[in-house]
Amino acid sequence: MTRSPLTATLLPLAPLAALGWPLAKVINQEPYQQTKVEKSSSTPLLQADLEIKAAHPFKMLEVSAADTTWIFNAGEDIKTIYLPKDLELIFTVTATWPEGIPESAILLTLKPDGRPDRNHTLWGFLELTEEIKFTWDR
Amino acid sequence: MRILALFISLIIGADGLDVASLHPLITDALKQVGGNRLNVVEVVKPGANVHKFQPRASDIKNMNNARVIFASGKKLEPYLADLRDSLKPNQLIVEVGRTIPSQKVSKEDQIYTCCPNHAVGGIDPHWWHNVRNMERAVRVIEKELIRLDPAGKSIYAANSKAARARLTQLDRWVKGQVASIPRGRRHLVTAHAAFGYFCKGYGFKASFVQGLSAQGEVSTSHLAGAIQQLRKEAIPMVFPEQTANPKILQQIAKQTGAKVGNPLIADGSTPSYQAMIMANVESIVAGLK
Repeated sequence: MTRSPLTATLLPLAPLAALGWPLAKVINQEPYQQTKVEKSSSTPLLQADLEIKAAHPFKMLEVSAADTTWIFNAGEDIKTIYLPKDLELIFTVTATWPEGIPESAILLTLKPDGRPDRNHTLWGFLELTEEIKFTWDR
Repeated sequence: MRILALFISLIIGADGLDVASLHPLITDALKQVGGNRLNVVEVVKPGANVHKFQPRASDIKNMNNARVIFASGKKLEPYLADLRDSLKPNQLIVEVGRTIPSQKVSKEDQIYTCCPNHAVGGIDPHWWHNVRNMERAVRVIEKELIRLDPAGKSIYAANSKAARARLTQLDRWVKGQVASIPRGRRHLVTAHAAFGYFCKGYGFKASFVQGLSAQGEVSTSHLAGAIQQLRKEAIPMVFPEQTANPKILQQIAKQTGAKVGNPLIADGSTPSYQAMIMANVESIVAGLK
């Protein structure tokens, strides 16, 4: 019994394909997006909308607070986030812009459920890292 | 997963997602966010008195297919607890105003000719008079619709983004109009306390002569005090409301030398949010400029 030339060529490649498929699954995983808050279940969390308005298109924009990082992709302007119910919250904002963009501004607005909005305008040239603090009376 | 989403989308697209609205302004927002994907049952129609509305058996029957009933919240609908008891287990009520910071009636910066002890400390339910609050309301609606109908996420998110952009523009327009009134004249005198969020949001001093309810009784001694203060401040115009009795305001105007302006839409019982805000602001600016 003789094999056809096609079968004879493809058959030795079968073990490679069997190895390659799971490897491709690992390589093609979704990019890492967000670190989840790992808090004890007793910690009350505050739901909020985090909104950004950028004067120019940015390359990368990350907002971090309370062990969590939120990444804004191009075209994304609002995210629902969960924060500790503290009266003082510190955010670190990191952004980069592509070459050729002049000094630019990002307006960051936090709208927590039941609390007044807080906002801050950040300025940067090609890149910025800034820490901002939002506080409430009660 | 995508095939499943498409399948759900086809099912919902065929019949639409059924919701009900207990406030005309919420209906407007629902239509803007949901577009053709929603079937909205307008339980409280434009022109109805939102303070006095009570659902009848026929209203509950109309809501029968609604997966969710959207209310304004902040105790504007005191009948919600009873309504909950009448609904099916899979139906829920969403109070759209719940994420908006509540404003309480304050004694310090407002005059109450009607029963000040009763009004002070109460939560003002008229959150929609600050355009930024309506932006929050649109997000609440967007999130709820996505939760109920995940296959429509891209439609709801895009419609919500467009609606919020229009509201941002409207908010800027209001601020621009208000800027044309001299600072010292930014004092809004209306019949009932429906404009607290507007006054705080756009920098007005507020005087509400009938407290929170459009039906408030006015005591003679409080009325005299209010007239004295408004005369002292030389208020150029007082504003009646479409759903409130104008008699007391007319009496105050007569005794203080103020004119009576165009009636404002206080309770939002109108089909278009944008038209309501624009009409109110134009009347206020025309009267106080």
